[in-house]
Amino acid sequence: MLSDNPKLTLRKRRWMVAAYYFAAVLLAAVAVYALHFRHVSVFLLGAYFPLLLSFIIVLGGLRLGGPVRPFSRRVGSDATQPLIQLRLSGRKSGENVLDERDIAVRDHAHYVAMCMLRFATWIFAMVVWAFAVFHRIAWLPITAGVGAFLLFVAAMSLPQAILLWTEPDPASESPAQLTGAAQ
Amino acid sequence: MKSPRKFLGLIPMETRRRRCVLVVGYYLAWVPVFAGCWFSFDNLFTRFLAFYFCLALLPFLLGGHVFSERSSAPVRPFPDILYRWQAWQRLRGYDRSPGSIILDEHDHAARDRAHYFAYTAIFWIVLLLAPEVVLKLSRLPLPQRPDAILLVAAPLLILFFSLPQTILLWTEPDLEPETSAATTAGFSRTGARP
Repeated sequence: MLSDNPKLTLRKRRWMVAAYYFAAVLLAAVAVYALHFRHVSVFLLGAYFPLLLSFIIVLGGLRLGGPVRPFSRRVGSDATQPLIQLRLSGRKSGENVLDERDIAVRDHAHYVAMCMLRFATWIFAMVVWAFAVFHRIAWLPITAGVGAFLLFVAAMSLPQAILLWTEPDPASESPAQLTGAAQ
Repeated sequence: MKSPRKFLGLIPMETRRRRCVLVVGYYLAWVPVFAGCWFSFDNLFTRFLAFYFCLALLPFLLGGHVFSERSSAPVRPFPDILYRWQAWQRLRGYDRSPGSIILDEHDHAARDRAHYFAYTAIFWIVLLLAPEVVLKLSRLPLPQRPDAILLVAAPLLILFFSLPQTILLWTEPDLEPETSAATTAGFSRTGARP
């Protein structure tokens, strides 16, 4: 389910996920400041759009070229043709065909992500309500804003983060090993 | 998702038609439920608490997020921990409760696929609507914002906590009811089938 990049080891991928969420927390501070002071344009330019772009570019899942392959079964290829492409031209078709394991891993990552988000949503709702009950009204907008923004960040990126965090490194084979196996 | 499933323990849910009716009925039922939560209380936090309470309970009618291996809800239990516990019991040779559920590969794949579709649908809804919602909320006076947030968040939360189950109910083919022998099969401590 990951892209064919041998340099992207498990350790690097985990650092990437940790850095992404650390940046999201910083963006949450920007979002709170912008919304608190009604600077909506600051929120959109400083937090929302950078987050969106970083999500698409850094983690992948939606387009070709990211660390996580696109979740859609075929991206960048003519999937409506019933015949197998012979690729006689030698050019890369940009085809991203997911096999059964990729699909199972992708679906399971979404299941786990949804379970985690469900749990986080319950906790968030209870915290907001507790703040209201214990009369911390002054802190409520900030708490609710930060929590909602972090939930939004998690919702946009959790399946990819799970895949990057859990998938093992692809086995790297040298040409000598391949020819040895063929013989 | 092959064993006979029942809504509220009474209405069989083998046919797809009945399950589609259940899905439509479930989402339509939320309209009076939410209206009741909204108009019964003046205080926003009490409204929110009532809505939170309904959101916690109503999805259990569909099943899925239950931690009982004997659940007969329309959707079989999702949690993996249940089935790992069953597998551990079987490996140790303990008796398995008659009528308990075991998910096979098809059920696991269907469960995960339903969550993938549900997640993708909610992802695009949130992504496309978030800037518009934030802009409009920012233009409201401060006292009206919490109510507006609850009105906007409620449909999304209702979908979020029920979409995988409703996708399964809507898409799974008609079930064949299991025989009583199949449902009561179990293993004795010696490993021999009764």
